[in-house]
Amino acid sequence: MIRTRLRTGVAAARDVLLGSPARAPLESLLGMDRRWPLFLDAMSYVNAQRIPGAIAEFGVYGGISLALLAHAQAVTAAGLARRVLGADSFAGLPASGDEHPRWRRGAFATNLWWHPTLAVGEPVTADAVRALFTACRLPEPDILSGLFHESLPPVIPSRYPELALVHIDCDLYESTCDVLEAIAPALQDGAMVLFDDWFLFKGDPTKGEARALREFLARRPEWAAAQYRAYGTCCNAFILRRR
Amino acid sequence: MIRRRLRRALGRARDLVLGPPDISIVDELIRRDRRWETFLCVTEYVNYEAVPGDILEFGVFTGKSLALFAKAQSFDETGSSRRLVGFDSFEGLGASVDDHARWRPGDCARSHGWHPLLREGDPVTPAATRALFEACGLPAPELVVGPYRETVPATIGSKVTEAALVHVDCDLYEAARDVLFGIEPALQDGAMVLFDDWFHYKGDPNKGEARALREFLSAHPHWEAVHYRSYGVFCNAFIMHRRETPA
Repeated sequence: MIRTRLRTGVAAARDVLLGSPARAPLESLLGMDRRWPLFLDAMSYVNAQRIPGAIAEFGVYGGISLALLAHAQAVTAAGLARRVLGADSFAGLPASGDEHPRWRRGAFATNLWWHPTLAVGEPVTADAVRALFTACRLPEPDILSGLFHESLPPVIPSRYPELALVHIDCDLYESTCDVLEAIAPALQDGAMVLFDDWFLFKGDPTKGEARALREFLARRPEWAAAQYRAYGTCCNAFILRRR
Repeated sequence: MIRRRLRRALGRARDLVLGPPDISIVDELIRRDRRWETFLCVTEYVNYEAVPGDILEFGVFTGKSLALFAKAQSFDETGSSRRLVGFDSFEGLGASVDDHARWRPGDCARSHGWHPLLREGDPVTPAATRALFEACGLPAPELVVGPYRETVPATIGSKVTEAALVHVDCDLYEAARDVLFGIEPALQDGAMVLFDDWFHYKGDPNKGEARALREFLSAHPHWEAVHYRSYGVFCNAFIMHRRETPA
């Protein structure tokens, strides 16, 4: 108690003398990202349920959501250590059978929006993601570069035998199918799976991530998906249960 | 784009000369309304997905939610411009087959609850909504006055040909049914339809807006309602997906 007060007092005095510090990159992220409350709830869920395994993201882009998930883990960990894995081609979207009004092949190879350490138009790279983690004072994540159907089978389940929370943010039906097939052997009973692009394609359930999950469940009757909640602008979260 | 920049520059110049304004009326509306976050998400959704058409509200009452939609749409960065059209009889609720614990015919003809300009009991009028928009610094909405079963057919297909975002806030089964069946010719694939009173009637799915949507879907088998989310106290949102072959 006294130590906390002392620390607050010292910080206040420092701010008066030196001027208040610029807002840390991580705090800017928390304030700007509408998905943060869900990330916090989802990490609290896997930690409270003691679901073992790593946090994995497919479609890292500039690393903002991966950093938010790593931070959510840090504040809800309750003694559980989890590795953080991010996989991306870093070459933008591959081709898809579904047409989207805004996406073209190669979209998202460069940064398009506000980012704490990348300017608009700069290329999105594994190093840029590592730099964001450093700026946010988060431990360095494992970054995997390459197309999912080539990059994932060599490491899942061998290096990643257990996955507790999976963030699927790769927009397209084909990529989502590749991810779900690759992670199935490591996916834990009760794992939380977040789909960032669920309601895109104008909510069409026969396209994109919604189609990929439906087909995955049909192929693998041992898995059932219980909806956790829709969040953000286009996202949906599910708990995957092994029957 | 240029007009928006000009408006922003003028606003900044005004603030320099006169000092920054107090907490604005629109900020106060936002702060007090639990539906705001969903309104932001749904306008962002229709803009990102490029669903063409207008924002329609059925059940304007004192204009607070219509103003919030106008504000949410003003944040759009994709450059879509959308008309805002509000429908209301401005005479309060009609009669209904459903009995609600609190609602009687004629309710909602007078203001109740907090409003930045109206006092408790003031009459609800189109002028009051226009005044609210002006006080919020929002461009005036179009208002269509009269019972839905007359105004909707007279407007849809002529003045309004495409609906992207529809806020159904008219409480009763009969009104919601007239609205849904009436807007069908303008409803766009991927349109977002929000029901403000979905869980009223103690959540009974055979009453109110829930019954109206179910009947709409069975009468129009090429439409599918994809659940988006429930929000606020009583509300529920769906994306209307047009199937290539009817179910």
